[in-house]
Amino acid sequence: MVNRDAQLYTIEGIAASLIILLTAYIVLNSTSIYTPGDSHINDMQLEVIGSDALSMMNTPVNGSAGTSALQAVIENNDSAGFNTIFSNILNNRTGATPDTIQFLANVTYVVPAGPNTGNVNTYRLNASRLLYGGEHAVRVSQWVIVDTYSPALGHDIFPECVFAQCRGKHAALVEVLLWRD
Amino acid sequence: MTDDAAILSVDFLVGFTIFLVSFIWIANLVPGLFLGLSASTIDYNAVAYRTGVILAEDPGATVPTVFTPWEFQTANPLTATTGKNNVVRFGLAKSKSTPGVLDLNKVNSFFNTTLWSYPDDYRTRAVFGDYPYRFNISLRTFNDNMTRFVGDLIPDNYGFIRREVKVAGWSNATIDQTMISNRGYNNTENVTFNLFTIAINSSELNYDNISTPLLDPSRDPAYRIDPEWAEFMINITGLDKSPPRMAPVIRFDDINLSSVAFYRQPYGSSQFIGITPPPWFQCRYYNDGNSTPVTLPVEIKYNVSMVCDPGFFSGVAPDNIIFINMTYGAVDPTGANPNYGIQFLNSSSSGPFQYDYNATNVTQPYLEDGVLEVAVW
Amino acid sequence: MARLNDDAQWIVLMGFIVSFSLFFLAIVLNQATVVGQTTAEAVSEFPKEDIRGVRDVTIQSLFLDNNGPYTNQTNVQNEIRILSLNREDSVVQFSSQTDGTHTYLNFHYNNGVTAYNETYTYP
Repeated sequence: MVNRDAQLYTIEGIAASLIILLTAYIVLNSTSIYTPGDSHINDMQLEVIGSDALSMMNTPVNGSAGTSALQAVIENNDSAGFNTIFSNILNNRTGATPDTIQFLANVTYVVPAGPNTGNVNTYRLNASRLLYGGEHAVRVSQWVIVDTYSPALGHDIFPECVFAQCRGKHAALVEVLLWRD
Repeated sequence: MTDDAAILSVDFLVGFTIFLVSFIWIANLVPGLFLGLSASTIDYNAVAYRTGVILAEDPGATVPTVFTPWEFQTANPLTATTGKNNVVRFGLAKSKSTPGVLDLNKVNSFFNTTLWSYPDDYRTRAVFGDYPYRFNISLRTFNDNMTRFVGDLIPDNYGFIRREVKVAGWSNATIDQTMISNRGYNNTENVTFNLFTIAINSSELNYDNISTPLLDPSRDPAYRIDPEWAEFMINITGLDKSPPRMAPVIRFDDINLSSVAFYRQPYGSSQFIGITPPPWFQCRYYNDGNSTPVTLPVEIKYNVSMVCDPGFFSGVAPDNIIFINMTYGAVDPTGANPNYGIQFLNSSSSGPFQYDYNATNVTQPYLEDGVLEVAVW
Repeated sequence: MARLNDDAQWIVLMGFIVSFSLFFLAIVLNQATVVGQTTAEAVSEFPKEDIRGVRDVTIQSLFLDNNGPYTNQTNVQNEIRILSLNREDSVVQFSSQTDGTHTYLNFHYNNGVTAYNETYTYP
């Protein structure tokens, strides 16, 4: 014989569980869950844009040009020129409004002469604005071979070389941090 | 009053244990339930990235039995269907070793929506995947400020990738009055017709170094002029200023371009074999700035342009030399009036005009900036 | 046998059903996190642009001259190895030889996760 004393409790329990399930389903279905893993997708997109922009800047515009825009900018220490060209390529879009990606560019090289020969050193090429610390940035890089003596400037472009006169071609790595505000 | 002694009977325990063990085992199989489910929303960015790489870094592919590039498979209108089926994969890059540098022929063919139908043709050749994704692919170039696109309008929730690219344009040669007088493309012989020859040395264009000194040969394909598949444009200007055969001259007659013939010379041989290109590739002639092409023979006052379609020389082997012979009439319709000068363009004594990688002869292909955006949903 | 008190059986059973369904939803959420992460991570992990960059600059260095007062080729190739190890966390090792008509470059790259080997021939 069935005892009907707990029937109300049971029915209340079933009703409560159905309400919980229904609520959970509606809540979870109506929002998109931004899982921690999704931030990698934005990073990946930004990295692709940045490395493409550097790579296109390092491609000469025609076969007889010889040097690319990136080499010319570094050899002439033209940081304003880097800003103009790189920022343009970086923020181009097919629509009318440009993008708003910020960057911070450094040139890393091996010290060719002087007391610190063989050490790796960095100097700032340009930055659209300085890092404040909260930005989530990705790093892209591009290799260049540059002639370190600049006739236009009258001295070498690497800081250690100003007096030591280290001429000839050297490899440098242009590293850029990119982030969206 | 309820009995709250809380004594569990043995058969309840046994039954509950069996139930729990089987439940834990089944629960471990739950992730396998999702193998069949395709959660397409999570995929959008990955598919967009893959499509972006295929378009920007790959030159495309045809079936293994065919050797002409994919963008020319549909050139022959009679075999357009088999041509379309020969294209296995789209790709806009000029070559495998120059990712990011796009070829103009491939770009024009890809965005030709009268030729390829959205979405089926693109899905099987660029986007791939079991799920029927919708997409929008657009390319904006900055020199000619043109935006090409294929696909639907973009909704709110989509996967996206943006690629910065360079689009390699065409070369062209401009023969102006300075060049005509400096190089002697006119002579004073008394002839009935004048022959001006332009030589396109295919083996030079295909195999020579593009830059001296040699910088980076792996990047050369971006700047290479491919005689079989590039567009050729030859502009001859200043025809109203050609030096007169005798002075003084008050007025120049119109020059008469009567015909243009195409020959090829095989490597190491001295014979000239005529080229008969298929009828769907043509060379067009524009005189004096008119925008509609003219048929030869034609009278020219100031300038003439010859534009040969990409693929016009596609039957010529890569080590031949191509000769374009332009025949100009030398008739003076006004009789023996000494005040009228006779126009002519003649390369018999100076040698043919070389269409090569010399920047003083030919304006080399220019890489213009572009942006390729792929949105998938 | 004394009759068992099965008054609370339904409550207990319903309680189990609710907890199992919450457990099921928790598995779904857990799997969603992992899927999103590994898709984009796989792209970032593979050093495609790094390999391309260091390979291109090594090929360019093959065509530098080594005469005169500045030993360009030696300097540049040493710097490529040093900078690659220092800034890109990758070991790059290459050597080239020529047999008169062709130049061969043996190129090795290893960043701890991905190894890349190539023999480049010019022309």
